[in-house]
Amino acid sequence: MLYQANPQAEEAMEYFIQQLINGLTLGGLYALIALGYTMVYGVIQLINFAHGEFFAAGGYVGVILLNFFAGRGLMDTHPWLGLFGAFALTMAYCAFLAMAVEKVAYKPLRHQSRLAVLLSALGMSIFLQNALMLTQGVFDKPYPGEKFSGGLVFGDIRISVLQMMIVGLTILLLVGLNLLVFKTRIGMAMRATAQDKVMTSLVAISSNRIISLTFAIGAGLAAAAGIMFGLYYGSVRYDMGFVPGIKAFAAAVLGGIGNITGAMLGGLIIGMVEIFGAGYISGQYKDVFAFIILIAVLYFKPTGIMGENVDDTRV
Amino acid sequence: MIHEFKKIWKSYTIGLLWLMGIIWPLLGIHADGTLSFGKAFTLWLYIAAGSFVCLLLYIMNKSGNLAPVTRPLSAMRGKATAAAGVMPVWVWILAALIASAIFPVFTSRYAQDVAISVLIYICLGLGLNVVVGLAGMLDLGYIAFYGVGAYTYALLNVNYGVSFWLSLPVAGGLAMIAGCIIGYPTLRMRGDYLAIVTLGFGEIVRLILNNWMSLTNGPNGILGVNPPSIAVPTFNGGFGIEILALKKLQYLYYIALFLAVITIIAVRHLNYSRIGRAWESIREDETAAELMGVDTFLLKLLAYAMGAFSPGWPVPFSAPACALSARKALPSWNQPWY
Repeated sequence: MLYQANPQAEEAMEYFIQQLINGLTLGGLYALIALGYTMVYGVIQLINFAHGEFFAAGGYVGVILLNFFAGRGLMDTHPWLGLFGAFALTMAYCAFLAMAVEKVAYKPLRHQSRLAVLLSALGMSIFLQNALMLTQGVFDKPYPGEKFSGGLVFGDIRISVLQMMIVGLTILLLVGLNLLVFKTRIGMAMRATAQDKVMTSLVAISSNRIISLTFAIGAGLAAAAGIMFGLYYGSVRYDMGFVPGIKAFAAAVLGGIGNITGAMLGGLIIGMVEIFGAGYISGQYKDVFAFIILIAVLYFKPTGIMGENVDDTRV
Repeated sequence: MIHEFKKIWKSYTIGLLWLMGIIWPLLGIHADGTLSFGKAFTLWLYIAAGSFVCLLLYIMNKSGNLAPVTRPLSAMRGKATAAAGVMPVWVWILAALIASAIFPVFTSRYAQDVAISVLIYICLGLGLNVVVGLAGMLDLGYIAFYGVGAYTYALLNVNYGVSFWLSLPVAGGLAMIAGCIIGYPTLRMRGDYLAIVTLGFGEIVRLILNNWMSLTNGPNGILGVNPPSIAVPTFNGGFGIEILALKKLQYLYYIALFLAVITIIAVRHLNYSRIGRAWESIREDETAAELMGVDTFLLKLLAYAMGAFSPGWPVPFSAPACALSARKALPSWNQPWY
């Protein structure tokens, strides 16, 4: 016998791989939310504080639709159809919500100081949070996720169906977004608007429409993340958007704000850090790790991993 | 008026339809597989009616149809302003002081409770004005200093029996130190990045206060914080000194008033001092201020410290005011979701 398996080391390895899978799942969710931040920042240089609320609204509309489909009996016959129907409708809902928010709260202030828009976004965040609280109640709302239980088991490593679905759908959405931004004419218009709004309006691209579209796409991705978050953790709450929103912003900053690939990478890193911090250091302080990373990145390398140099006014 | 309404009605209608589409899924889709329209429609109708009235008034005012009402009102306002200008300023200050001094005599417990909150928010707002208004640094984690102040008093009082008056400067000092700790690494940043970093710092402080069970008792808060007390001379059988605990809400109101007045005076003096002018110059143009010989680094740190002192020091007594639990002193808008 040349090699003798060390049971303790094997257990530690299995724990590590399990945490890796959990981190990948959470990182995918953060990446989806971070994309909305980074795209909006890229186009109008605004930290959209209300973005976390699109995520929460997505979680709520998702649970409402899933319950509705269950009441209709659709979830018993075609559970996956019901789930993807809920995904599509929720993403559309949040896209419309984000466009309305942009029209009401940000567009009139576009030529004011940047602080005014930032505070408007903060106010919108509180408003949406309270609107959710008033219409949906203050208590946790359970997610009907029992239809999607089960999964693969390798020894002590468990990969649930939900985790596979989350990772798969996240990859699908990210690839779709990349194709949209880098391969289509709309994406080209978006990138051009991010670079120079005056110049793009000279070549007959409506910057208002592009900004609306950016908000809609970002909120749609956040809404998808909201449903997955609800399914994964089993419940939603009216104020669930705040902390993931800040962490996703940390992810966007970590990757270099304004950079789409960077946001995906940053989301993965933040998710991994949070899960490994919770698994190996302290579960209670798992949120602190993400904020410490945010502060450290802003302090030592404000441009992020993949960001280009930002000028003096932004930093 | 008709002409202006023509320009606006289309976007107004689209906005209302959009609003209907946003509120209906939240209220009209039910778990038992049924759809309803009544509740969402009622809410929508209220919003639509309210916004229509506002819009109508706005358009009427803009086109001059409201002049018969607005002209006498503005004339009255002008007269009132002129009458107010005749009196010297100190008369108004004295009147305000007297009114606030006799306020608890005529009001109920509830009104006093609200008044105490108002006074605390005055202190908070003045401190925030130093950081955001004067020095121009958007600090969203400001509420952390409030938590530091409240917990300092609660812990000192419960564990060591330190009195309220002694812990006032201690709480303020610790809040200042916390301000410097948060301020020092963030001084390099401006604008949005500063806002987000301070938000992160505020969240870290909140998480630590919430999770450090052995020190802060976590989300349950610290119970049994004593109200402030004063020494009163008594003449019952010879001269002596009696410790009187100020448990009644009225006394807390007067302490809050005292602290708020001191904060107002201090911030006003800071505002019109050399330091205040230096802060304003930093806000307007940091590079130019530095070139003119303003020590921006030190002054920005000072702004953080002074801004942190102001919420840190009056707030200890919000702990006794808030049902003797320091946890409640923390605001609720960013409560944990887990």
